[in-house]
Amino acid sequence: MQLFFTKKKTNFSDVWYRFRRNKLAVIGLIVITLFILVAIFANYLMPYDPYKIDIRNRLKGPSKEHWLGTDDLGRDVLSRLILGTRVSLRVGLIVVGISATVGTIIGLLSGYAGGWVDNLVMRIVDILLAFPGILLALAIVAILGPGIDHVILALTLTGWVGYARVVRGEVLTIKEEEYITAAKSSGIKKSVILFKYILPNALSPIIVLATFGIAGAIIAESSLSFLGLGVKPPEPSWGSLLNVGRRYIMVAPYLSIFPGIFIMVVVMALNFIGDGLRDALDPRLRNK
Amino acid sequence: MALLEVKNLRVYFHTREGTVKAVDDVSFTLEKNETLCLVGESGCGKSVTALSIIGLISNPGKIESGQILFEGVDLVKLKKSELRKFRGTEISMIFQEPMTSLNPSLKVGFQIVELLLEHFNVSKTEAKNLAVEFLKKVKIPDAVGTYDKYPHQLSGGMRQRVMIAMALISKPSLLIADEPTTALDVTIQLQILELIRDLKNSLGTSVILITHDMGVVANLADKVAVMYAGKIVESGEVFEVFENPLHPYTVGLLGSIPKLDTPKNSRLISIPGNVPRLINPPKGCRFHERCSRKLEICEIAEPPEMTIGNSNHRIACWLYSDEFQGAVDTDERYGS
Amino acid sequence: MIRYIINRLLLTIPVVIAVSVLVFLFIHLIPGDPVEMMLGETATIANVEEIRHMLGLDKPLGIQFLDFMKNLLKGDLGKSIVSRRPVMQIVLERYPATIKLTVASAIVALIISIPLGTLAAVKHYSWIDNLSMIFALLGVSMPNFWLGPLLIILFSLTLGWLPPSGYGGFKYIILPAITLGTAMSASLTRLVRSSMLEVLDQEYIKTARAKGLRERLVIYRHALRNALIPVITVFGMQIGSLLSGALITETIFSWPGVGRLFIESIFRRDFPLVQGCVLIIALTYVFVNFIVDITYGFINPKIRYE
Repeated sequence: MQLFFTKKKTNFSDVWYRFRRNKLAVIGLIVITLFILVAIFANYLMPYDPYKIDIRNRLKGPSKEHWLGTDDLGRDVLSRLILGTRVSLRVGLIVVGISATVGTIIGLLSGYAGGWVDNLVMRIVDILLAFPGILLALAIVAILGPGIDHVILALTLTGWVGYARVVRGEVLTIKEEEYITAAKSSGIKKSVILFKYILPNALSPIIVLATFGIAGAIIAESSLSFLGLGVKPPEPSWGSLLNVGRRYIMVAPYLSIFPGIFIMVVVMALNFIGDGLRDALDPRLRNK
Repeated sequence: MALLEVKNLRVYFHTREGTVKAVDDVSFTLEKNETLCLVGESGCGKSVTALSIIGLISNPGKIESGQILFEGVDLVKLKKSELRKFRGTEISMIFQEPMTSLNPSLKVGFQIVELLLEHFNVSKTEAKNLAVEFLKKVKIPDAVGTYDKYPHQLSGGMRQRVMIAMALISKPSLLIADEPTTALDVTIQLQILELIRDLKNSLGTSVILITHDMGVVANLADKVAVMYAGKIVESGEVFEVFENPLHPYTVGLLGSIPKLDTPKNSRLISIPGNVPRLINPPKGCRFHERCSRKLEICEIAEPPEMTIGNSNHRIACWLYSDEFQGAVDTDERYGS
Repeated sequence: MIRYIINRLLLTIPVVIAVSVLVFLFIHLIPGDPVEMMLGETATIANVEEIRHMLGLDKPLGIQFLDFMKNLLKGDLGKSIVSRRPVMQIVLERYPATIKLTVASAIVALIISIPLGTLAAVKHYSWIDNLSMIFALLGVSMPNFWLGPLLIILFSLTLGWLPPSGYGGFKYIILPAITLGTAMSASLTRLVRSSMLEVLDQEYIKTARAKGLRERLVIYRHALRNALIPVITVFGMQIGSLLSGALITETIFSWPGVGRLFIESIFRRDFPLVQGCVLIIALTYVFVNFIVDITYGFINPKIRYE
């Protein structure tokens, strides 16, 4: 399908118009906006200090005072969930930001250079893909120890691969287009060709991939935190809240409910946006 | 009794944008051993007509009204399970694209045999022998070897031969061939057409052949029906229609028989414009927008269907209606 | 076909070597002294020297690598620091549990997705079609470390039907298998449906119907057979994600597989054992992908005859 990419100016208002017609995508966008607002204004929204320990009131179910109850140390679950939103979204955005940038640059250079450089990069990609999903990230965290920075590093080290592959594929296609040949023969510098001519045309798939990537990164961070290898206590993330929930599942099952709902809603919203963007950015795919 | 009698058939497609009247009040008859060609540009309802005879109109399409009498039985009224027993036994069909009409993951031999096993009480060995025999009949050089091949191992022409063998193995009374040669090389087209004609004669099958190629019609047809925008505009014995074409659309089609030197699949040029969208067909005669001899009445009312003289030559065009006969100059009628 | 298999095999070998090299390097990437890291505060000098010698870390890097590869070929992955037993032995003890869980989840995924996806496609736009799409959406978005606890709350805590964790008879595998299999069955349902819809639109389905075959034969013999070709590829690719999902699912349900061993070893800083787990999981993944490729070749005659 990518073969049909030709030089095109992606018109923002066209894309927005097509995106808007996809109801689920719009709902997704609204949901994500809400979550981002929660993350930004977390300090004002939290009813309690999320770190305040209150041993007397530990593992109390939902009540008027504590809407979502308290955890094993008597901390307010709602407050921790709100702060956790900030942590989880931040990790998602940072991981995707770095992976997409690094992956795009590697993909651009690899595809454009061709030859042994391209071969080498693609072999590295193959090898990284030979490890199933989270295994490599876990191994890296095992080496470096838990902590949010290590999680970000681990997820980035494994995350750039997808972008590199897609961008390289785009470059290989676009490279053969006449207008690139024309640009080359008129003596325009390589770096200009790469970033001014090729990159804009490869942007659509990157954006779509990044949207899905944020969802993936949020799940990966939650998984690591759930296993106790992500954020360091007492910092909350959705995954670490579920970790506490698992330990007390027999006595305080309510702890396991809400963080999961948050994760699922955000992941779903991002997937809707991703689908919507894919259709809006490349309407030809939709008709297939 | 005629083998097949289609009476006032209407097939509509109910889509989100509106109702597409793909086949709108179509009637024709087919006698035993006869070949009828349905002719017209793509999108004029030929294939839909054919698919309704074999009962393969699928959502959102529906047979709205009319009768399809096959040996006196109205196929429209039959239950799905009863209709199924006619398919592959009494009525067979071959399609335009031999490249995609065979299942890519099953051996061609099996695809023929399964038809026999479904409908007849035969053993696997008998079925296989019969299949090989028919592969020979359609002049496939290595019939035994071909039996065990997959479709992608065969050329387009060979695949269409397999399709023909499959369609005729049960010696059906009616074969429907929907543009069977359009997708093939020019050199092979004629071979396939001759094969269909020979087998038709030796098996005594009647044929409905759908084509947009007047050359094919001249080659094979006994009768011809010209369709335009869901309606039959002219029909009759092939010699009658070819020698004395009356409807301006038929005249246009006859002026557009591809010569050997025209590239394959090139558009037929002589009639300007396109087949109208059938969601909102033009009022009056559906052809009037493209017709060079349009009368005022053509934009207002649908032309009546009438018979020319004592023949089976029927036509739906205001030019030949008694009321408007005066308007037509005889020279002009045959000239164009 | 044999050439195809050999070809795949040749593509697999460099990956296996690369995986081994990465696993070898693993212990050397630990910042600072890995041995002190491992032993933490309990380290004594004698202790540190002993472990260093046991791991062969006192030799030059090149020699270490050769030793590592030599031992690897003999199936020797060194000894666990905690229990001092051979890593290979420990990992192999845990291996069957992981395989059991993975296979059970794959079965769950297939027995849900193939009928549901097929039905959804055959009854396009019906309630069952909508239901399948909702299931697909929820299943894909629901992380297994949430689904697991939810299932425990429902089936163990509330209904008391199934044990919340542990290893034993058939009862014990149900919840873990559903937890691990749901995401896969959700995405496969969507795939079976779309693949089936595409196939049902093909000319050869029209041919099959024109032959007067029973609708059941048209669906199963002609449509499903072709619709499953892409499904099998994705199914194979996803067995890998089952393996990584098993890491988490095993932890939720205290399932004694390699995944749980892996997580435990990370916490115990038992690096040789971590290495062993990574290696065995990655090799399983590579092996599964190889098998999937071969199977794909068998199903798709276009590949088989080239």
